[in-house]
Amino acid sequence: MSASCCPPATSTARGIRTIALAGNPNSGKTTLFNALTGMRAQTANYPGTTVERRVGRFEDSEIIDLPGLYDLEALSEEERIAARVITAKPDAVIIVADALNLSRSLFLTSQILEHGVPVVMALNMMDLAEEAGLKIDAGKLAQELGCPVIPIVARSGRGLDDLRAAIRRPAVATPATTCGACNDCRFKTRYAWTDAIAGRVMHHQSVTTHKLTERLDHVLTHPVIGVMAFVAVMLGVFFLIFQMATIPMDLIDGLFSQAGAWVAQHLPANDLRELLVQGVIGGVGGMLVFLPQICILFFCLALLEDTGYLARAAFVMDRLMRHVGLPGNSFVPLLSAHACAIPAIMATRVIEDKRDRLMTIMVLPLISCSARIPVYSMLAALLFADSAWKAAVVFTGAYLLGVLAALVVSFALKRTILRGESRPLVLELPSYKLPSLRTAVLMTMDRAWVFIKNAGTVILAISIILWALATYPKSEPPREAVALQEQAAKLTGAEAQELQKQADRLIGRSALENSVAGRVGRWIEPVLQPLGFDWQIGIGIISSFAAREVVVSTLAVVYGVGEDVAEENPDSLYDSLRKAERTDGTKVFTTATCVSLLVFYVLAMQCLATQAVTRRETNSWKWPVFQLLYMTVLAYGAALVTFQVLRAFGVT
Amino acid sequence: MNRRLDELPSGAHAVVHKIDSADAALHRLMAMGLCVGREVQVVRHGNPLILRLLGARVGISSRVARHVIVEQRA
Repeated sequence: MSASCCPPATSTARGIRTIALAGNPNSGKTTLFNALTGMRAQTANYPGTTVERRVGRFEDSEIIDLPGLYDLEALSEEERIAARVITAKPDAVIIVADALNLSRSLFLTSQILEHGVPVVMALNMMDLAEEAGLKIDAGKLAQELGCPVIPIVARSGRGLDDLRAAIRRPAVATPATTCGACNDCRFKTRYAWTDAIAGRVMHHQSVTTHKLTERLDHVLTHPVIGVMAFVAVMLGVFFLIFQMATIPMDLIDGLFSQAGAWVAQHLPANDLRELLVQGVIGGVGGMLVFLPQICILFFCLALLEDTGYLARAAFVMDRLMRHVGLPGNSFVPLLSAHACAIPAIMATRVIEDKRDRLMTIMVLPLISCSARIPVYSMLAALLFADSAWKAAVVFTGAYLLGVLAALVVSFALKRTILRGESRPLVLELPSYKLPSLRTAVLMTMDRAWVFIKNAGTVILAISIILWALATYPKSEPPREAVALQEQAAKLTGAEAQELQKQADRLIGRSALENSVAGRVGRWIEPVLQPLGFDWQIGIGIISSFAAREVVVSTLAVVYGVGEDVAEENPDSLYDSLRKAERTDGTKVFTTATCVSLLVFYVLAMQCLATQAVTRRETNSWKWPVFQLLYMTVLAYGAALVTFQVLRAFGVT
Repeated sequence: MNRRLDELPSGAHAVVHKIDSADAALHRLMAMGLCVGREVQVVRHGNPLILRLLGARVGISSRVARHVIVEQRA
């Protein structure tokens, strides 16, 4: 525990004081929290809920960042939790008040004061208030409220020393003034009280919003231009995600394959080495490779939120999204899902209403993520080897199918298990301001850590399990391979190497065929046959559960191309796949099978890491199970219809 | 003359006369300062629309605004 000496003994037995940080949304609460606690914040959920609880250390105290709220007596989950924290009598409450909107801040303040907890008011955004010609007498306000009032600018750090000193003083006088019992309309009475106080301490009561905000909003909240601006902003973010992420992604990829090669060289050839190289190093690399995209996405979102733009995006998209029963702020997660469903599900925290949030989480994995791109590339090449534009049509079709499925499913959910209207929009549009890099960096690090802790461990575990399934039980190398090896032993140079490689491919293929994964592939073949898939594709589908793109390298192994060849020269893989035949001599990858497989991969839930994040964000196993079931049924049904219809029309 | 908040044109000032719903969304608005007898301004008419409430700008659905009866000021 803390060994700090200066502040006097505190009320709790543990020696750690609990301080709650409360305030309206957009009052600069998070900036102040970061300034007071530095980089030491920890994020978790309130037990049994999906509301995030941020806790940081300030000297010998623990600061809890409460959810942003307007009203302690309201019914939403966040407000109930905040009220619970305050009724539990923390050692102190810091109220972050927006100097530009004192009257509203006082509304919440009066409710907190009534709980009889020691309060310190941090009067934030004093610089903006001064700019707007507003003079607030902090001393007089402190007298009126009966608690210390410290004018601060959380962004620049002005007044923070005074605030720290005020927090250190353990016994804060319990406030004398409260608004009194409220009779008919609690809002009216309370606001009469706040207006009276604001009138006494402020010199210029009516505040005009920022001129810049007004001018920008004229354009950015326009029903047509606003939507276009939003599309442009999101395109910019995507460009950054896909362009800038490639460099660190290649770097991570290279680093891990080098680490794998190093281990392969320095350890004796046994199962432990294979486990380390393919299961552990491959798994960690496969997980970290997503990190750059996730970091860039959350960095951009944090900056956009901090400028105030994200609220406008939700505003303009609201009308369009309502038609399918989703709120306007579900649009950012839906777009983010094109990079990866995991950060998208994490980004649904901006959606306040539980039902709206669940609905968004349920449909997010239908959006084509970047792990599907290698699969689409392979199938597009198999379908139309000769024509780039036809391949482009395949891609566009796959993406559109994903979006369409998400819209149709949310429409269906709205009428069945998630009945009811989405919560109507009531959203403050804060004044535009320059974003804080520090807040964005902290937010990005926080999200990256959540990803590694939740999704990462699952991805690692799955890669190890799938490695084992594809390795055991071991089988004897096939006779042809042994013959090739013997032949190679007699030769030297390039010829011997070539023979050895051929032998390795045969061994790899037969090992996979005889492993548990191979047996399961054969076992589920009757189920997959109506979709036009054979047991080798079945193995590919099973291996996809670690990450969808793994299917490409798995198919390379089962069709005897060799994993390394497929990576260096995808055309040779596509050639082999095109030539692959079933036991009856017909081709495996007919047009009907390819289209059916494409539809399956667009719609199927094949990412257990996403399921782990769904579990975390919904705080229940029910929803990930439902997600897996409905998407599997949907993918199976759609692929079945596709294959059977194409075959009926004679497309082979 | 009393009108519904969602009927007011952009730029109109009004005083809240009555709120005829106890919906959670209206509670939120009331906590933000929309109360009977208090002033409100429509910044942008439409669905959703933008209000000025106690110096802050608030975007709300017309579904919510329709429950707020106001008296328009000249």
